[in-house]
Amino acid sequence: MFTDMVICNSGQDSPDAYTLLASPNRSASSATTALVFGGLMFLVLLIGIAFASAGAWLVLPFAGLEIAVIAAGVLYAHRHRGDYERLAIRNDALRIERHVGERLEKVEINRHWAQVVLTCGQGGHHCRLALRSHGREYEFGRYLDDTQRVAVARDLMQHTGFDQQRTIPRGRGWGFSYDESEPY
Amino acid sequence: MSTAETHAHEGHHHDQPTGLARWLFTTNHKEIGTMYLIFAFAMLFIGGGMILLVRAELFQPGLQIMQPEFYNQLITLHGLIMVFGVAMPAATGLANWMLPMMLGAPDMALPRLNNWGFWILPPAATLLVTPFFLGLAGIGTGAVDAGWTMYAPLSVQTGWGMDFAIFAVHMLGMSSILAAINVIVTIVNMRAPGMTMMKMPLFAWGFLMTAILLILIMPVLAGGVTMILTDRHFGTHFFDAAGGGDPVLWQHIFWFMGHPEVYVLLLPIAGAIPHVLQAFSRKPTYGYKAQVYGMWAITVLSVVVWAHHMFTSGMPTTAQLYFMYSTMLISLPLAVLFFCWIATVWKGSLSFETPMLFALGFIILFGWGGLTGLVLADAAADPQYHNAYFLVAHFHYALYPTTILGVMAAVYYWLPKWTGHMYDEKLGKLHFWLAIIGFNMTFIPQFFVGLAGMPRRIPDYALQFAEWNMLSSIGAFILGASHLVFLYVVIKCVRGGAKAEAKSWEGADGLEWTVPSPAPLHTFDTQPVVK
Ligand code: HEM
Ligand SMILES: [Cu+2]
Repeated sequence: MFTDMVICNSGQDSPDAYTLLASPNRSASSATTALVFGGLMFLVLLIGIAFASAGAWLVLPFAGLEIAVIAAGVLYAHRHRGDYERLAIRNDALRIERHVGERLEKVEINRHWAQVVLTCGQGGHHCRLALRSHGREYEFGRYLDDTQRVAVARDLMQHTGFDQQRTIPRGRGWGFSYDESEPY
Repeated sequence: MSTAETHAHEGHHHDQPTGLARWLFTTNHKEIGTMYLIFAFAMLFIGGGMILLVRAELFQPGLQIMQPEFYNQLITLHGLIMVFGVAMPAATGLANWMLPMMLGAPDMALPRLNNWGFWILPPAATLLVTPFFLGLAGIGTGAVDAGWTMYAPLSVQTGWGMDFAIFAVHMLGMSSILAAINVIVTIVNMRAPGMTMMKMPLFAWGFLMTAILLILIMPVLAGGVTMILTDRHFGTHFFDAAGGGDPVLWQHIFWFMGHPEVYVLLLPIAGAIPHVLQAFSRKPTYGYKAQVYGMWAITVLSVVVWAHHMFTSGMPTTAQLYFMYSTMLISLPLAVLFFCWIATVWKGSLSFETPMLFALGFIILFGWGGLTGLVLADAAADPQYHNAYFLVAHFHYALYPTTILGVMAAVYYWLPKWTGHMYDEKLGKLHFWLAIIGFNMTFIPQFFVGLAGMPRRIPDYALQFAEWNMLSSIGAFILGASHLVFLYVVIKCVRGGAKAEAKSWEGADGLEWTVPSPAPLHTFDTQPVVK
């Protein structure tokens, strides 16, 4: 999903080393959604009632069924309005926040123990980005596209792990391979 | 510390499934779009093959090669297949391929729903034609034979092909509703930042209108066919005058769905054509706002004019007057669209590649569809033309240019974007001219025999109509052959050909031309922003 991505990268020495906020692009406000759904529901019911009063009452249950399906879709979209992912590195802590529907998931790990895992499928597509710490993996970047995931992985590698100064590691252990010459 | 664990692997596919599984489970809008288009094209051959048998029968007066019962199955299946199996899926295929790309969205809003919407279609089509083939094998009474309008009481009394058709129509309707919901949510919620509604491509406007219409009319059809089913098997009398019901009620139900349905088929094409015209006139679309408002007007009017199909069914004079004038009113916003199309081309720097030829062919021939519609809309004149071949010619001049010529214009226009190759221009033009000659040769004679009184839906006719019918049948076979050329062009284009640029046409404009050709499986690397 496309993203309104805000990266705040204030350098390695400040306590707020890095924050990233990503949320999917949504072009409709709640009011628009309500208007579209309300309008459709009103018209479908109106038509259903008109036919029912002319004797064709079996139109009504189908009108109701259709409204239910649309309502389910709208409800789904509404519950996911506030979805976002946030990653913040501050002092020694790396915090991942993910808001999906009604759920808010938070996890905090030690930045120096965090390991960046990036795996890509054939041709650099279907990349998956995660942070690994103490044997557990925390996936991040579901609202990013592949290019963004690679870029973020690169950023994160400079902010995590033991050696702040080392260059970006390559090779199998990291599951991370890309062509350095390509600009990200 | 940590309050919840973030699950690994959630929602991601590292390895794409291959083979059948890939197509069964895909949620990618391009793959689903491709499946819709292939399905539509396959059904075009089935529905087309059936009507070629009909034209073979009509080549000469008298019963030549089939019995009337079989003839009725052929014309009924032809109508249902062409509308629900060809025209609608072809349009949905275009929507799937192009809407996200043109709106700057990564995919359709509800990808899983998208997959279901498509996979309902093949079983539905199978259900529709199964009794036909069973009938050929001597089992049962054959396919539904009550005409695509399925008028009661015939549809209540006929054989069990009708029951199959009822369930098929339910499934086809469900598929349309799912597609419509997806289109609406995608357009409303997934436009790129900066793309306000009034900056949206006209293509998206056309589909939005179509989707709204589908949402309004499909429950009515579903309820209607269910009532036929209960009349047939569960002792109700909705459409049975002897039981206190009313067969004309079915006509109202059907045409309340059926008339907007023809605009469901027209509007996506009315949205696509300006893009083609603009590209080959090298000039921006004329009257964007007028076209948007015109489409709105057509949409609103299309749901309040249905009974112009029922002038001969018996109606109070005031109702006849209302339906006559409201129907004629639709030609005003249609004329606005025509004006804008012509003004877009006017004094442009024109070139006539295949998509442009198909677009111009659409405008000219569809113009005839609209004008002959006005003739039929005259409540006083209609009894002369109703259910005569003039009507058949009218709606083929309305439907063929939109659902075939218009779709072909769009397909040729975007084919380089889909395949990464330019198609064979010579063969494309051959396809166009064969189609135009075949089509006019088939249907111009039908205006003549219709005016002279030849009724539709009858396998035999008076001797005086023989020459025109012979010509019409020859035309139909030319028209059928033109699609074989198209099939060859597409296969050739998928296999290879000159490399297509990201912007395949000099005058092309829109977000879809900013991504490489062929468009990668996942379209945009970064979110496009519209200024
Ligand atoms: C100015 C525009 C139009 C007008 C005034 C018009 C008018 C009419 C009228 C009055 C009839 C009924 C005639 C009768 O049953 O005796 C009719 C039939 C029909 N029209 Fe149109 N029409 C127009 C455009 C269209 C369009 C755009 C389409 C499709 C894309 C279309 C498709 C049909 C079909 C399929 C039928 C016949 C259905 C049947 O009886 O099987 N028409 N039209
Ligand atoms: Cu109509």
